[in-house]
Amino acid sequence: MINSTNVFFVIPNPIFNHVYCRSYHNFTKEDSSYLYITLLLNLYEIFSSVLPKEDLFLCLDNRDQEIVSGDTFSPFLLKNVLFFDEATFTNDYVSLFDKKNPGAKNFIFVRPKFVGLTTPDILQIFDLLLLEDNVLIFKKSLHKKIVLFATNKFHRDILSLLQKNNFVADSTLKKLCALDYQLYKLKNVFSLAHVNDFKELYQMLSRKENYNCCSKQMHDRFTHLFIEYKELL
Amino acid sequence: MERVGIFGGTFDPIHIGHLITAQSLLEIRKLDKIIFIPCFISPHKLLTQNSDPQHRLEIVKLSIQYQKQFACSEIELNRKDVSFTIDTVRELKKQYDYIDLIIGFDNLIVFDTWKEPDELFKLTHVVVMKRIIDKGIEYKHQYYEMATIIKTPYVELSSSYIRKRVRHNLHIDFMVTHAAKKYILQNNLYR
Repeated sequence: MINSTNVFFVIPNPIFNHVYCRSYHNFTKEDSSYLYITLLLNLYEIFSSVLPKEDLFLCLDNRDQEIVSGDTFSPFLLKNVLFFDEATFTNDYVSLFDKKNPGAKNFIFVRPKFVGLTTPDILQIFDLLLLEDNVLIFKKSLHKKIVLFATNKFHRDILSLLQKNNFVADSTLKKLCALDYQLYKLKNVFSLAHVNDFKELYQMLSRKENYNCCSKQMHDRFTHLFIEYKELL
Repeated sequence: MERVGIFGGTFDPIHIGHLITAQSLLEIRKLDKIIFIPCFISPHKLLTQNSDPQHRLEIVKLSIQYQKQFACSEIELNRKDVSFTIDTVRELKKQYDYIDLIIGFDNLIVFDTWKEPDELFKLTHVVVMKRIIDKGIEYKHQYYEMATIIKTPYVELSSSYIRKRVRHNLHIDFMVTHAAKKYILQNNLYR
């Protein structure tokens, strides 16, 4: 089961290349990059605790390619880092996944600007993927966007629909109903979109029940930003 | 004390797989009655474009008409709103002291995401239908051990397959009851 699952982390804007990284609120470009990389690293770490890194793929903007070197990329398996131009992210998501391992049956798509996923959540997704029916599993953010979906039967229309509907959960799910899948909506996760979200992230990570959402090392990375931008808390 | 099992679902349409499973549970759990409860909109099957609720209800009624230990409830359809199982159970508890809440194995996997799962265990006996094709699970939340898992017959049939066959003008004999088939065709459903 585990060997037949591919996970794609899709980040359609540069996050490693400071020059092009979009700023989060009043953060410097460097800190914005640090924030987005931390969100990605955190999810990557959680997934790599249950899957081999060979099955984890990163789909990044071409502009990030300039800095694929050094320590920043050391947690990732370089051969699984794929680069795409902006047009692909805008018009042709489907082509991203032509790179997937042909032996993989299951497919998980992640837009890694969120926290709140835990190892048990991933195991729960695997359990649903094992069902005999064709399943589509979703996690949406509190901002009502789809941030993760998984399926045991990949269909190009799923990605096209998600992209056309800008990942807005309600409109996308309505259209996905036309496809013959059992849909499962799992617990929502917390995403960073607005300035107030930073404060909420701080509050969320401070609560004991959320300790398993990130490792100590990731927590330290977030804490660095909480200190740096304490006026937002 | 009357022992009832409640069996919810979209039933779009109800097919012989549902009926065989229900009959099996009736016997294994020594129930007096099984109540089929077609849902209005299942919160776990988000926004699925179900056929008209009245058609689904009528097909259930026609399909169970000769089995006196099977009944049908319109409780969720009448609510005309998102149905949560806990609301249905609370309503039915006014009538029945003993309730088996019958759920599929897939629902056990996500049971911790249901509304008020602890309360459901207090009010009912949660009975999980596990088919031979259902595999073990990796993530065992606290409810896994609390549920009663029953091995049920596996009929490789789904409502979506039936709808697809109707859409392609293929026979659905032996997949739904004769009365259900007649109703589907007369009302031109699933075209």
